[in-house]
Amino acid sequence: MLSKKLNVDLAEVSKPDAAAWSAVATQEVSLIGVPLGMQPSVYISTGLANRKIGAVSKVSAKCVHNETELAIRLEWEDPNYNIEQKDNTEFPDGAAVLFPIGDDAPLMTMGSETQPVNAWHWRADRPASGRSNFAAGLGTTEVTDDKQIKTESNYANKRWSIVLRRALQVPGQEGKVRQFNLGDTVKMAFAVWEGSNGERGGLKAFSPQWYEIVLEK
Amino acid sequence: MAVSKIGRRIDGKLVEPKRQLAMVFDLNKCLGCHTCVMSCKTQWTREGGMESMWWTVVNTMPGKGTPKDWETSGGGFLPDGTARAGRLPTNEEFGVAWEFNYDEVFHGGKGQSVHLKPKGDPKWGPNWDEDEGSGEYPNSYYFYLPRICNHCSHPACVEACPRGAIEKREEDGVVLINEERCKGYRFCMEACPYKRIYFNFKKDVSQKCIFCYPRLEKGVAPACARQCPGRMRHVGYLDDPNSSVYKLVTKHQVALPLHDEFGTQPNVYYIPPMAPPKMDNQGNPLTEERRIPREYLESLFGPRVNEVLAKLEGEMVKRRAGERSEILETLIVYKWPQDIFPSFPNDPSDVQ
Ligand code: HEM
Ligand code: SF4
Ligand code: SF4
Repeated sequence: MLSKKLNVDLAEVSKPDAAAWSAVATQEVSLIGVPLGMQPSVYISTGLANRKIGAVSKVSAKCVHNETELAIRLEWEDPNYNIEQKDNTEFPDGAAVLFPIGDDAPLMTMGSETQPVNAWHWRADRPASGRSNFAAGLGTTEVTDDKQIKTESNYANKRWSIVLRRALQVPGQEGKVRQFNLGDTVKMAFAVWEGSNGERGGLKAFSPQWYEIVLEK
Repeated sequence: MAVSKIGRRIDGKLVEPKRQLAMVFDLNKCLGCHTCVMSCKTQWTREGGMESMWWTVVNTMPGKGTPKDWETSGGGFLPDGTARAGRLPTNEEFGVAWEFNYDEVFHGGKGQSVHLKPKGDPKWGPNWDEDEGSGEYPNSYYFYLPRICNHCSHPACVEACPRGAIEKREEDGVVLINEERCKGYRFCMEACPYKRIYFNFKKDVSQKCIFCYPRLEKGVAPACARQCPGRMRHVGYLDDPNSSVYKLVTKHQVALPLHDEFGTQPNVYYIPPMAPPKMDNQGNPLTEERRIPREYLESLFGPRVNEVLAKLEGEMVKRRAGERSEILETLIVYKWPQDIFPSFPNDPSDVQ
């Protein structure tokens, strides 16, 4: 998957329906429900063992950069629009992308102590600011920043489309976030939470394999 | 019985706190005044985002409780130790904080014609079925059941959180949610069979009874216990032979956990409610049969409730005959506070 180089201000692609996106190739990504048996919670691994998790089964991904910023566009079908959590029983829709902070990391466990990961997380009730999560294994996500990732989202025709955008380099956050250089081949994975299915935290749909993106020079 | 069950296995290792704090609630002394509820509210849950929180509640039994139908909301553990799926109660089932027409009544000039009432048309609240109870005249019955987080020895909430954000303190077994780690997933709320966890929408974290740990650390009893005019809330360490909790739970075994079958090993114990005999329409006692049906009490406190009630009645007979009864003397609480929470006698106004 190519992260195409665009000679534009990335503000121009910050909207999911910006015209510039139509020229960018799409990667279709299949998602499956996250395995519950391995989650660090007896309640989830045994009590919820029969729950059907992973309501969203595919997401379309696109990626561009302009030598200073990286922008990722995700689009998926979702007949249930959940943008709030105003009741105990309500969960907002969400999506995230995962990168190894170094060259590689175990995807199935959201990283490990020696190979941590960085997740960029968008949630429908916080539409404008993504959260940068550091994780070094299941149950360890930690929000390190909620400003560096700009997000915009759009819901139309029962489809979500969102854009997550961040500077290629974030000084001072080495080891906590994935840093990008031109020409890099970077692993990326995807997750989507369907709020109406009670999906949050480890309950979500995810791509069981890494996709490689190449930052065009 | 229950006391020896403290501790749980994590990765094959028995993990147990050094000591365990417990409470005993004497249901024969609860007035249903809700002073405990208000003392907790004013101490801990006054901030925005906590309007609907009642870390302690006093439910009328039989009744649907708080949140509505919590007893059938699932959670806890099955006998084989696996978790039982639970249900998240809605805000409405917990009872939302009503807004009242204060403006209209107090400042709108309608003080004589409009009465104070909640806005909208509420269909449920935290004590909607208060004092309704059950049974037919003249043998209708009810009793009050105060509830808090049970600071369980096998806490379903702790085992539900995938982030390890809930901890059972080593020094006293108090179960606390670490709000810095909590991400508001609410698995704990789903898993707690007593439904004693609330969600703070403003902070996006779960919150619950903290056993007034900042007070404990100053030798002050939890607010609900200290303020209780019924003096029915005993507080102490289960291993402290001088505490009334020890005497009632361990020594005389007259205090029982609520819904022990939920499998979480609660550390709140109840002295089951005694009841007058059934009567006829003239008010004459009919039989030995009590007004609160035994099957109902068994469903709450387990089969030992019969033995405990028989013991309490026996102790009363002893007392009437002029004999001593350590059980009744403990329940009466002659000297307050030392007889009811000996480790926490301090007056909050005397400490910093
Ligand atoms: C591959 C793509 C994945 C992405 C992008 C991803 C992303 C995330 C994010 C952003 C969170 C934090 C959610 C929040 O703050 O509300 C999270 C939590 C969690 N994830 Fe993943 N995840 C992925 C795969 C997995 C897999 C395969 C598992 C396997 C069981 C898993 C288990 C969990 C668990 C247990 C949590 C909750 C504990 C915590 O907050 O650390 N995730 N994930
Ligand atoms: S009562 Fe519920 S919240 Fe309290 S410790 Fe037990 S399981 Fe956890
Ligand atoms: S303050 Fe005491 S007597 Fe009053 S409702 Fe609470 S537990 Fe019962």
